[in-house]
Amino acid sequence: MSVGRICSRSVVTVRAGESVLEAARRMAHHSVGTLVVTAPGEEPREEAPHPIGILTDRDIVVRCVAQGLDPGASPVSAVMSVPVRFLHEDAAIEEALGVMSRGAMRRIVVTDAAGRLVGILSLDDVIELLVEEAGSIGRLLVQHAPTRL
Amino acid sequence: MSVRRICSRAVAIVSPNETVSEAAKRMTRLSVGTLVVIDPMADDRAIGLVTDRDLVTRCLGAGADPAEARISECMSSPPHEIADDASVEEALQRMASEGVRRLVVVDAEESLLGVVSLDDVVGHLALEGDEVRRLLRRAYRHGASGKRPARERRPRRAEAPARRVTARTEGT
Repeated sequence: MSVGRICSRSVVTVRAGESVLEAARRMAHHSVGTLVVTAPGEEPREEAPHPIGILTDRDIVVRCVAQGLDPGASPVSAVMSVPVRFLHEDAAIEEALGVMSRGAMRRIVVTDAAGRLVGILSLDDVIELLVEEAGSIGRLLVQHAPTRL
Repeated sequence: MSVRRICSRAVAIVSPNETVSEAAKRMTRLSVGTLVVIDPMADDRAIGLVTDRDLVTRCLGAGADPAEARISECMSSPPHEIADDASVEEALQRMASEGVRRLVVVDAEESLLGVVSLDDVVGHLALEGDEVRRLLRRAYRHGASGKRPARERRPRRAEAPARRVTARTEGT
């Protein structure tokens, strides 16, 4: 199974030059905790932007609010997580799990061969897949139990 | 397995009167994303939960000043509570039916004991799954070699489930 198959494709983006305050508003508006950061010149609504980083609610709390920085005057580029490890959409889920555990991160940006944004893969997406598969195996075992034993 | 066994006992707390920026500093210092909001009059009573997400979406995102806004304005209250002797399965059902990822764990006197998160539950289930995997692997290995090394000899009951699984897999 490839990461492109299970990653979330509906991703909210923010430009590196926008303010942290604007990013917080966008998180609240879309009810998300993660934004993909695109280059300063790119339009936020562009079809397939080139990601340069990732910004989480935690980044804002730890690197902006806790430091006493003014969210209205701080650019996203100052608090986002870099460097970000991108994964190609054809990468295997095992590879993604390895990257997550080595980097102690729960999210990876997924891109195509040209480096354009495809989606975000979160640890939750992986767990969901594994639980689903475990459930199928469980049903198989339970349903066949009376006839096979 | 009870939630008492898998919940996080060392929870970070915050008063509802503290500011959002004070809470942000504490989350940073303690490397946590969740604070239990406690009753200023009784520090063993949880009155809410506040996460890093709440600080961003309900304070910053709503246009409030983190140096001025109080935790009481952005916390989730009252907290979703569960008894410490409830089962892990019950915790999962409660999380699903109430649409939350965290429950405050309280003892028989309703005193704060800890927080159990979906991550705690998934971690627990994954470890149980890993235990099953090792059991299966042992069964397959022994099946291939035909005999078990004395060092790994196990009681019958430990071996039984693995055999059944093997038989069913082959039968399908």
